[in-house]
Amino acid sequence: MPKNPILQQILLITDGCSNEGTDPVYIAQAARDRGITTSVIGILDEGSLGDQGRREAQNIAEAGGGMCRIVRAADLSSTMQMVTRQSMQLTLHQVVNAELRELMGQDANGLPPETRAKVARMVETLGEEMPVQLALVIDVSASMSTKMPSVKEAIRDLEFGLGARVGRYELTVITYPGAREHAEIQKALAPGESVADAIGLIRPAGNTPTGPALDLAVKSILRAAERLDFTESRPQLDDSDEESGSMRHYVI
Amino acid sequence: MSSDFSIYDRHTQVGLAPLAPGCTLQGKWRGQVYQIMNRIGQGANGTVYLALRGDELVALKVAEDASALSLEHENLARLGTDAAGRRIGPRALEIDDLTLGNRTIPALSMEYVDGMSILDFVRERGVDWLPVLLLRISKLLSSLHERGYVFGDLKPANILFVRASAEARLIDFGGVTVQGQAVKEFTEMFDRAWWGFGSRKADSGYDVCACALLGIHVLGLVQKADVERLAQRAPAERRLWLLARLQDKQFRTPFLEILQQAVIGNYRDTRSFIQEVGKVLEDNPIVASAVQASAVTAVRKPARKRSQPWDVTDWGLLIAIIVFAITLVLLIWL
Ligand SMILES: Nc1ncnc2c1ncn2[C@@H]1O[C@H](COP(=O)(O)OP(=O)(O)OP(=O)(O)O)[C@@H](O)[C@H]1O
Repeated sequence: MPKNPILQQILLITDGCSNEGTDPVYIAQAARDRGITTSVIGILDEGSLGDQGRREAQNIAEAGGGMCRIVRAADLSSTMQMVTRQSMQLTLHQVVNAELRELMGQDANGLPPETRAKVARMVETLGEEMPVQLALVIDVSASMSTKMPSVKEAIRDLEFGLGARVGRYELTVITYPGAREHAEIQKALAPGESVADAIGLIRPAGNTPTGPALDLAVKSILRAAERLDFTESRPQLDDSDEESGSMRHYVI
Repeated sequence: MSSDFSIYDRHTQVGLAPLAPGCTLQGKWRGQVYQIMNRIGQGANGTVYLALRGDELVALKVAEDASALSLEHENLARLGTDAAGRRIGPRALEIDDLTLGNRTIPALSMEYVDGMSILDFVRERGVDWLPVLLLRISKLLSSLHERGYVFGDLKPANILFVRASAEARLIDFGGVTVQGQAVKEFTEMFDRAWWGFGSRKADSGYDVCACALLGIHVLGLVQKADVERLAQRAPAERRLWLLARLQDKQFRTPFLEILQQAVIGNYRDTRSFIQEVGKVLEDNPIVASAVQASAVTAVRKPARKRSQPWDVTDWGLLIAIIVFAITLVLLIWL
């Protein structure tokens, strides 16, 4: 099983192409080497995404061992949930497959479909139950301004969805470009509130430092992993607890 | 053999290259040969083809994610038929890795459902049918609920109505979720939590709400454009918008009232929703008789042959034989 009993995930949400700082594909690759999976959602509407942005999104996801989906802003809620869920499972499958290759010289795809289903069922349960650290990296450059209300609602919705999982979670939101830095970490304004509310004004700047923003996400995940203790027992999940699901995220 | 696909192919929406009509693929584990006819569907997780398996027409779902497909097959095989043998979804045939040249393609074969979507059905045969269609869908849902599962991603693309009998079939068992867990897949327009009417925890009420939202969509009261606009609003505001829309006098009917109650979550269980929709049908003689007629022609036909051997000619024949026998007896006697 994983050396690291926490699933570490980055989800990048953008509508354009990076144009400043380190190559994001390189950062995603480096993150993957440290056990962190990077997935990307590209937003399509009247955006600057284009062929180049699309290709970059796919390359980042490929290097990051994650998935890439290109969607309209209206489909963000379901897509964010789907990508988060599936990329957690993808990470687990990669770990399991590495083990299988070591043990039997072939991965799950080399097994008969029935056995494969058993492995998949196990991975699915693990994906529900394992603690997860998720960093959302959000492009807030000028072209995103019309999509920000949808993005904020989708973040709120994702917190809601993460709260419904069995396992604990820690959510960090990073926006870029930042006021002074390339990227900045957003903190919930008060305990129990959504980080979505903390995301402030759009930067009208033309720079899109995707690489440095991903780098900040990697650093904050690794830093938090040292401090977090997911081993303490979690309060029982009942309906009232679910309502306040966002209480359970620890913002750094 | 293990890495016929790179991660890139599998998960970055580049998708598998389409399969050309006429090409044949052979199953690696089961040995079946499939000949592709044409593409019949495309979803977020796979592509569905009409194919020949021997001389049988089947639906072949091809997906990049072999693990997800194997789970879907398991769900379909286990839950696609209820305890009484009634179809909930298409009959599962087999799961295999198909080879085409040097490519290996995970595929799930199932019964081909010659059907149409709820939107086409209503367009062709009239909106009067809607209560019947929702009733049929909710009966299928109820069968899943009784076994501890929730369908989850109910939407027009995941339901087919068999052309001949108007029976409903749920398609795509990939989103089926164990009750109590978080719903695996959803679509904004049919999602209880998105509309602010409750959680995304899988319970029977989640499916009932989705079913009612489906009806509201078919009635044209919520369109994709509304969802795009409301995506920028909080769930509480979406909720208010929808309730106001349902209150609009111009649309108000007893049936819509039931849908509204179902969306809000006022039915205790799926059965009570089914009962309420059933009452609408009783009050609507045209639809009720249409349903009866279709049920008789679709379901009772074979039964009738067996249980009605005694028509007029049969009785005539019997009487003739008896009369003949009596005459014979009398003749011999005398
Ligand atoms: N057994 C079948 N018989 C006839 N048509 C089918 C069958 N299975 C699927 N289809 C068609 O193919 C379409 C896509 O199938 P399906 O929903 O399984 O794909 P998916 O990738 O899982 O989609 P989704 O986006 O809903 O997750 C369906 O909407 C339906 O029209």
